[in-house]
Amino acid sequence: MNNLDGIGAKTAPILSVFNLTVGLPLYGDRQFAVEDVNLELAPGKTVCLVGESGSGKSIIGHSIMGMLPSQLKYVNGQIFLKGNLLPEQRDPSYSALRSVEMSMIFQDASLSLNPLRKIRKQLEEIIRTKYSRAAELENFLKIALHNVELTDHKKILNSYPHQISGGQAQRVVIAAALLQEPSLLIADEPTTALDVTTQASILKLIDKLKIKLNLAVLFITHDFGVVAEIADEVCVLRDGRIIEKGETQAILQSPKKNYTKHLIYLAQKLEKKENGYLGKEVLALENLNVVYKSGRFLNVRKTKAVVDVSFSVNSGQTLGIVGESGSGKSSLAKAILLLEQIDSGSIKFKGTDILNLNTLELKHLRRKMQIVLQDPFSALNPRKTILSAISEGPIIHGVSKTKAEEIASRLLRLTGLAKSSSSRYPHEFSGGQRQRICIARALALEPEILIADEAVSALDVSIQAQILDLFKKMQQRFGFALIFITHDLRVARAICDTILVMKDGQVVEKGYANEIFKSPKNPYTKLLLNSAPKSNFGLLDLPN
Amino acid sequence: MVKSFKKCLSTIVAIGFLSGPILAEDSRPDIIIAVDNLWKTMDPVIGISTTGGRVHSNIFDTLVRRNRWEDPNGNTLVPWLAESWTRKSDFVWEFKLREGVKFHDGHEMDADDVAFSLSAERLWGEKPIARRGTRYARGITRVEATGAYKFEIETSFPDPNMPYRLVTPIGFVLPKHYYEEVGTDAFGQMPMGTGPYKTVSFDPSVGFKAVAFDEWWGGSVPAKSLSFEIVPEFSTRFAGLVAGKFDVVVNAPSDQIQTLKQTSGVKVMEKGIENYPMFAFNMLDTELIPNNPLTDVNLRKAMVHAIDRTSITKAIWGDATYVPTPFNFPEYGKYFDPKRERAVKFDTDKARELLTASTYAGEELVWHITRGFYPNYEIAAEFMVEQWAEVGINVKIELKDNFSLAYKRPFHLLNMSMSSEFSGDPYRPLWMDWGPLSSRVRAKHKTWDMTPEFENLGEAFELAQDFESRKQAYLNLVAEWENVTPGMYLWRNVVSYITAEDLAWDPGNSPVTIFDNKYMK
Amino acid sequence: MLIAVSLVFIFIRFSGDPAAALAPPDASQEVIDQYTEMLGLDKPLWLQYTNYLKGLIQGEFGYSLHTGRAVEDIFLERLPFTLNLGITAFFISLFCGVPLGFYAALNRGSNLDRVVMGFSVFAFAMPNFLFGLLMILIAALWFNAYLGGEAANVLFPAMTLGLASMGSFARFSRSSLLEVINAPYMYAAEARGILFHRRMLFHALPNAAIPLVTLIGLSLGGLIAGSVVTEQVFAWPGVGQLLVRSVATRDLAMVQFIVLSVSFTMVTANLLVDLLYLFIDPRIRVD
Repeated sequence: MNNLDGIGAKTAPILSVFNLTVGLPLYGDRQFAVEDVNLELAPGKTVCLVGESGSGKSIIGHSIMGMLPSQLKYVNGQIFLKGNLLPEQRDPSYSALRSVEMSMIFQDASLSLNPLRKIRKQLEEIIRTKYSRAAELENFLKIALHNVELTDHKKILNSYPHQISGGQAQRVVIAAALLQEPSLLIADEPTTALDVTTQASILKLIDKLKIKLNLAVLFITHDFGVVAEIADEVCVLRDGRIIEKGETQAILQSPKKNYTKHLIYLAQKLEKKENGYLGKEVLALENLNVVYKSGRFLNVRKTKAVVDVSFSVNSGQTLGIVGESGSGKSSLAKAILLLEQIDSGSIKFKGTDILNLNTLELKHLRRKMQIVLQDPFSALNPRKTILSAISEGPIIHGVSKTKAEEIASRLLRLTGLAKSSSSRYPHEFSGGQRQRICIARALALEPEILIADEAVSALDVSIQAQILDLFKKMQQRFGFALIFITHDLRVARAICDTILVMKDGQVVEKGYANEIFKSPKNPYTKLLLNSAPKSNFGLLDLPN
Repeated sequence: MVKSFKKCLSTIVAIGFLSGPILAEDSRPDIIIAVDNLWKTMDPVIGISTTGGRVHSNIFDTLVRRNRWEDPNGNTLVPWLAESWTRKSDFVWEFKLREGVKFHDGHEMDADDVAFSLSAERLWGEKPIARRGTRYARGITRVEATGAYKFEIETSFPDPNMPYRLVTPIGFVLPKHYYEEVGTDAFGQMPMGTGPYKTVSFDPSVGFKAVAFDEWWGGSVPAKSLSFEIVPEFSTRFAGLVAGKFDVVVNAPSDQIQTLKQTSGVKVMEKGIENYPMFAFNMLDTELIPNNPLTDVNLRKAMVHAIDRTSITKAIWGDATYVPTPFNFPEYGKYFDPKRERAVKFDTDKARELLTASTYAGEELVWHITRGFYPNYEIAAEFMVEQWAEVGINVKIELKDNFSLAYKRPFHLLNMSMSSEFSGDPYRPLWMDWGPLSSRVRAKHKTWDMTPEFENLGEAFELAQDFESRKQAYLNLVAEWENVTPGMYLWRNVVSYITAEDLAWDPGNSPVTIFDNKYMK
Repeated sequence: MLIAVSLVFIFIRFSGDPAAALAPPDASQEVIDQYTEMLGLDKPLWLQYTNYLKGLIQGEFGYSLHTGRAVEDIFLERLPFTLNLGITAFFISLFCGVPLGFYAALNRGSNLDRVVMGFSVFAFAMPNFLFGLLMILIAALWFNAYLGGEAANVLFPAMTLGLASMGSFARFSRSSLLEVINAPYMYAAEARGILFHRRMLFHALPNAAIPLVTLIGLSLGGLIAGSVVTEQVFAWPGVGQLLVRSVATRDLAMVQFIVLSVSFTMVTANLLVDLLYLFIDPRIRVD
């Protein structure tokens, strides 16, 4: 897939960026958003800008589009497009260049479309040539959608954005970007919000279009997995400076800078997981079924969210439940917490059936099962200090206030938060820190089962690794069973002992993590593994 | 809406046609009075009220009238629709009617109309239509047209002052034929009488419009038209006056009078009226107040002695009003004695002395006051509470939003006012407002049981017929009232009018606004 | 609506005796009792209540205590005034408030923005009682003009009435447009080379209008109830004044009918808003 033919052959660059420097407003965390950036982009090539959030990679994309926000006043350097110097930022003449000479697509495609207008209108307004006949226009749009592999063009054109899937939306947005046949496409994290299978197909599509239309693609990402998949050249960005650049293979195989090594290491680290130790069985599910009913009266529709699921978890063990959105993994988690109406089957906690407990026993049980959610922002009450947020749980369950606060301080220490943070409020913390707080809060109740529902999905790669580490450490210390729900295979691989792969509410495959990753048996598992961005970078052979 | 709009339009057109040729050179002014409110029906008895009374006398005439244009207190009676009267016996009065008086539709007034206006079914029968008039019609047992222009009134007790009663709203003569044709409700919405102005339109939400009735028996009518417009907010009324839209504005807030007096181009009139704000002592042991300290006359008198009413009134009202000696009111002519002084005067030493003699042990006394009803009452009450506190009496003011709430027990003191109108002598404020038929004695919110002495003296007063014996009986009754002290009068009530500076109009001491040729030049 | 009616029924009966309000303050007990009987207030409360509800179901709303006329007739006579006032005020506040807000949003952070927002805070905070009086007094003292009454121009009371909602329209439309302007699809549209005026007209405004619809619904719902104070100040003979006077005189049937109408307009306005949402927001439409 990585076409390396063009390397070394000198073609006139589509885009040249010289010494681009953009100042941050006063009191920013550094003086420049980007500093002395030089870039060159040839037709038919993809250059990846890699960096963590805040590295300035998006600023570069926006600068090229002439769309820097007016708050960023200091801009220096020159940008040439096809040899012509681009005008000042936000100059009105840009509108003649945008989408004609260059286009940009963004992270969340469904948000990039006006929710109130039909797709057709949003595409039509980009076209500047007048079509005398409606049929011609229709045909033009049909071809444009066909190019992005959307076949049912009539249905898509007549849809509102909310009526199509995320993947379709991204294709529509790409079609929109390429409608005027520009020579430069800037893609700003276009696949980050998508699940793995969709992500893979979009990456493929961009690659195909690049060749077909001889596009120059500037691809902005934080993910070396994606880089390995698509890039011809890589620029590693740190704190606004390009610290390393070169051909993709060269960088992947022998990165020179430590930071680059670190980024690659992080991406790879997510792949490994040592075998954990297995204690006594704490939770066992047998033929569990959850059915949603929708509609009313006579027209009740039943959706099977969880179908005949059975598994067991031991203390100290980490079970991964892996699947795409809609696979039923979250319904399963809710069912375990008894937050979902269970239609049939049994759930046993340490051998006791928990489906027929009285209120008091239930209260007891809830203490033993805790959950950490994806979004640490909404999980914490903004008006409560961290200390009281953590000690609240034990107090409810009858622990004295002094004792509860002791527990809370200890957990704060164990989860790697500064002692001073106990009297602060949630908004004073970063996302990663908040997730630590949430973990501490869950652990304050000394659970025997901890459910992590996409607990690291919202975090940056490096933070992800730290939080996964924390989970492991805490598990070693407290010995709880961890049920780890995720859509991200690499995360699952990094932490899980055993894995359950779910699709449409059913378990399609289960087994030890290592075995599943080495030799998946179910075709769906294989598809999932193949779709995931390569993180082995050719170092490890994945089965095909 | 369309209908009423059309009606409105056609009236305007009609007025235009009718008045156009006749009044082509009519130089009379159009008078507009901005009022806070109007009573919702203009039947002059059903609508007895300040907000109705300001209209009635312009549309209707009473049988007898008091002369306020020469004497603001109106001590002389003037024959009005009744030309003359004689007392045929202790129980029967005969009245002779003016002839040639026309209602607004041209129909001539006669004794039948009077008999109808004063009839049992309207006023004094079992369940009269116009209940608000029952107290004016007390004791009437027969009203009879004895000729085309003659009628008799018979009462169950000898009433030397019957002509005075016919000054009140029951003395208005209504057109029997029209009233019976349209019915009570419709009459109230389109009233017709013999008065100087003729109704054009009435909308209780907007206002009342009338035009000069040029066939009025009383002679010329000074204004071309007369309108009462409802403007709830005083500042808005005042703005309309300053802007020249209104000629008369009523009910200036008492605390703004001084400022208004300094405004150029307007005239402020403050008139004492025949109404006296007061409070009554609750002298009864009730379920809610079983050991009422106010049953002790020493405490009641101490409380009256403790208050310097003259200074308080002066401080609040300036010269606009004064503190009356009980029942010694200037509107009662020969009964009024400017030299008589009140028996229970301001005297703190006396107050302390009586307080010591009383059984009062510092209990909190609750005073129910209807919020904002009597001008300046609450301010005066604050002063008084302080003066009571000085001698050691603990009174707490409780403001109530309306009278029915104020009437709810428990209370020790209850605010009220007493009118002195219509009886010609102090019979009304003294015997009717405190005697056996009064709400002080009979209502659910009653405040006292008469002493046997008071009852005896009252009956004697009622029976006394000639002036000398009646005056003596009145003085005896007042002495007993002061001896018991069942309440305390504060001051004579005041109404204020603000008019354009050049308006030659003076209503005398009355809340009733009349714009005929006697009051307006 | 039933709840509103029941609450009114209860509150009025416990806030004072209508018979006592109808009788003069110094009326004797007999007179008060007669009124009580005439008004049917001597019957037990539950009977009065069921009778009232029965009447409602049959379209009998009752008669005014004072004029004996059917309450709906009186109400309908006053309604045009209130609608005239309310609708004028609504359009003033909408057509001044929204453009001001949008203008401020487009010039965010400029002096103009601050002036507009300052004005909107002022407009919102200014009691319309005070504003109306000021206007009336200034007109009278300086221009010899009287702004009150039935015949006067509806513009001035409408300005007074509309001022507060103008303020909230301005603030609301500013913040909702600001939110929309910073939405990803606006950015994306810019990146697609869509011109500024098209982006505003076809992308920003429709989206910014969505939250405004709620506010519009609230304003319309409050059309009848909202003008009480303004009508008092300007002597505008509408439903608001009628309500105040009916409450003061304990005219039960009248008050109940007005409250019923007010809750009816609120319910209708909410329904209209829901329909409007359906019209402008495809996400709500059922497939």
